Amino acid sequence: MGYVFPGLSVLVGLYWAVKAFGYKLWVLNGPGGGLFPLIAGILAIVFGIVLIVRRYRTKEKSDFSIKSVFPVLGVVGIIIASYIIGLIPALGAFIISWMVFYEKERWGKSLMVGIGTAVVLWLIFDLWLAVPLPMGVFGLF
Amino acid sequence: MENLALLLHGFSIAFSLENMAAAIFGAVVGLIIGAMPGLGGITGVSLLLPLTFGMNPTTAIIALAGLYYSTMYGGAFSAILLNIPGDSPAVVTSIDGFKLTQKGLPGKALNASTVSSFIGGTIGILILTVSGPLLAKAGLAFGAPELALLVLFALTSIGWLLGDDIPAGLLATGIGLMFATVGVDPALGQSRYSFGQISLLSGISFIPMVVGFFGFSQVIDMIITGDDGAVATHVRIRDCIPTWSEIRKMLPVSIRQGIIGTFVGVMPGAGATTSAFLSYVMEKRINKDRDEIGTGSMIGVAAPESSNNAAAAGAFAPLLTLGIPGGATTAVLLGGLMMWGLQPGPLLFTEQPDFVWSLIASMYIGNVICLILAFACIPVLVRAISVSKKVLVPIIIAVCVIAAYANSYTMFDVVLMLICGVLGYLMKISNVPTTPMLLTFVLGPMLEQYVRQSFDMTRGNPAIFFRGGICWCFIILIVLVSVSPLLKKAYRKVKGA
Repeated sequence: MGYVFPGLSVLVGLYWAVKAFGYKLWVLNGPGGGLFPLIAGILAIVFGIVLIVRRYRTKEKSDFSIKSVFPVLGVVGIIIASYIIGLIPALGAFIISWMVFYEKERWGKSLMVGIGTAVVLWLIFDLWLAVPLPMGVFGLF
Repeated sequence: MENLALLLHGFSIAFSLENMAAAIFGAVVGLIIGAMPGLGGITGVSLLLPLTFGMNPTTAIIALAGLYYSTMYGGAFSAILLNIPGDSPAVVTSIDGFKLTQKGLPGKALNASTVSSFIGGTIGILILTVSGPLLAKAGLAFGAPELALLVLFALTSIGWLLGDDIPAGLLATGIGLMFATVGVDPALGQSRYSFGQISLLSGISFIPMVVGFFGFSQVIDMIITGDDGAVATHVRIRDCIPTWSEIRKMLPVSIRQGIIGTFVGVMPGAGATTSAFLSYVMEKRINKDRDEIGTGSMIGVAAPESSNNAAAAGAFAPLLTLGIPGGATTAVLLGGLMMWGLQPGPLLFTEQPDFVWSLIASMYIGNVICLILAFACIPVLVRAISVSKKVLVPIIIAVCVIAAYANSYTMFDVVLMLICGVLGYLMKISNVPTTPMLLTFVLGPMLEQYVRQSFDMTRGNPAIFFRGGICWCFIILIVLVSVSPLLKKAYRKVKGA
């Protein structure tokens, strides 16, 4: 996994650098929209390659675990659920599910934390700050 | 002496029951809003502005000013405790602040932040009292070329943030610059790297980005390593009080950065975030305990906190004396002044002395109120995070989501936060530092804009970068900063031989 970030940097840097020429490097007596992206792309390509080569030579290992996917899936789940049940209930449901199924906590405690957090967030963001939160198809919150 | 008499008169107005209540209300609301990830001073001022319609202008501006600088206090809370900066200037505070929390010293970090915020704020207000109009004129001496060189000077200091792994730091710099170039370019106004997304036309939003890179990536790390991270258990209140030697270390840093922060706050377009970054890189370079900075040092908390509070106070100088807002929040405040029928400018001090001096007096009072409130919160906050990781992790994830959403009320920002969180985690496992990336992200667009403006002013003549003493000062500093590592190396070689 240690190769992923430098590798990704090289690819994205390449895209940035190539696309930069389309934005013009020098225009109307001054730096064009492409100059800074070109510098950024070159930095990412050069030092991405340096890191890949160094990692290959030193055989550095990185700590990666499949567990890292769970919070990502959790947020994806919140986004999808927010369109159906609304953002605040989705956040509450996520906290309850995480505590019960991942952390193996008791239902009672999980419900208390999940509902409590959802209520606090609703009071602050919806009631007080009037942030237009997604209400979902039921329009409850 | 005349200023002192006017200030005392201002105090007599500010101490009225109505104005004191307004200052306390503004400070309390600002502290809460600042502590909430994703909501900064501009959100607070915008939310409070409609509520001040019915107030008299002096009371209204006292409430708004109190809110504005108390957000600087509150912004550090979530940055230190959860690694989720409450607002953009607090990003720098989280670098050392959260490491102190991980070491089981959240109270010390919060105390360092509160005390240095107070010192910085007080210095800023003192300078504003003594030399407000003069300061504003000095700020105006900074045109586009001077500001471009100032930003370039800050960027050349990145070397001190990179640590031992220079290629990894330079890769982070490149990534930061890539993020910074998304959106409409300052040359022709064309859209760059927006991939057809309207949300990207104004660039990558700072708050979802830092919430992802700092907060969400930290959660992933906590789950994998089993590291309790933000969970500081068995923290005693007496452990929160800084020792005499720690105070002696922090005091000169807070005073130094308070003075510099005030001047940065005066400059148009610079603001509290820039001053916080500048203070951090400066201490990393000049402080005798510089090796500790970045590893969980109270100096690393004190420098940006003092600087950003001083900048918040300094920003009032051009606003009141010239009618020029230094940043987005002061622009909203300017709108408020005009709404109440006041015309900021050189005549404001002479035509509306009651208004101006009671505002300045209220800033002293508000600063003390913020200090007391923040101290009162520290024991509660320290205990609040002493909960199990099993409970804290899902709550932090929920806060990350709603903080990103509250930035511009779109799910796009939540997706952006998620992507940045994953990238932040990948950077962590690849040992690529995030600080140079954030510094470049903040300063990159400013450099691009000022360089472009400078060339526009002279139709492409680079000689503009060599005009006047300020430019030459920065050029000399840039050269010195760039060659000093080589000179040091050569000196050591000669000394060794």
